Amino acid sequence: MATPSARLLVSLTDGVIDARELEEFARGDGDGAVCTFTGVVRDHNEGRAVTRLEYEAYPAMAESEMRRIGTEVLAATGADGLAIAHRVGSLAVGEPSVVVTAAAAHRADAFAACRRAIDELKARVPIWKREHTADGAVWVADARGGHEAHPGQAGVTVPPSDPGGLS
Amino acid sequence: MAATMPVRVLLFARLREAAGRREIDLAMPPGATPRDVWAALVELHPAVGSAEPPPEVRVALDEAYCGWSVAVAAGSTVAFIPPVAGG
Repeated sequence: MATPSARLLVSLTDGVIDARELEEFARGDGDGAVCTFTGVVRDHNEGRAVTRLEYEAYPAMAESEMRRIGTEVLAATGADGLAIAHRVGSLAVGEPSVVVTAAAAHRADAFAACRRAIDELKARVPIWKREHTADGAVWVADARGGHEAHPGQAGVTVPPSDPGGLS
Repeated sequence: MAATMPVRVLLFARLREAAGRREIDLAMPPGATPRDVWAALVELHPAVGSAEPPPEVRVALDEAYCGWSVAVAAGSTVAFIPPVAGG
């Protein structure tokens, strides 16, 4: 169980995310494990060559939902610190769009908290992306669909090809 | 004439593009639900969708997800959330 003084930082930004700063925030001296996930714009999606992604958010609710997720994840895991940052605006291939970093005494809790936080973010946080290709631009809909992941439900289903939290 | 209450509607992504606007202020009857707000929205902006909200669209009241049948208070903000794609 997370300590009463568990650290949580959430951020929605239009600038470059500083992962090192997030790790410094999340880690306390009792933490031997810091686990960071970085989501990066890739050059393909569903057979299309992608040139850039434009992220749009409902800012006030994106922050409050990230905060709700962070609070749930800290309560449900042994992590002591968690930082979640998402970027909005136009991003090129290779640019980070989201960073989640979790700190815990040991790695099992750090991995679990990091994984759970990004899974919940992808299911719930009101952020959208418009994918630009040679043929135009389309709004991306997550393959799982909004009706499969219910608001407030923890433990989003993981696709079978996923290695199960260790990456 | 029955009193109405002000409700602010927020739209995003494909819904925002369909309406051509991000914010719309409506005058709703007291006791209106998000489902009623959606119906009023599509009357003004038919390109957004049909009278019944599509299953993949979620709704938020004052920045938190809610059900389609809750009571909306005067001065609230109702946001229609198409499938999210963060991360």
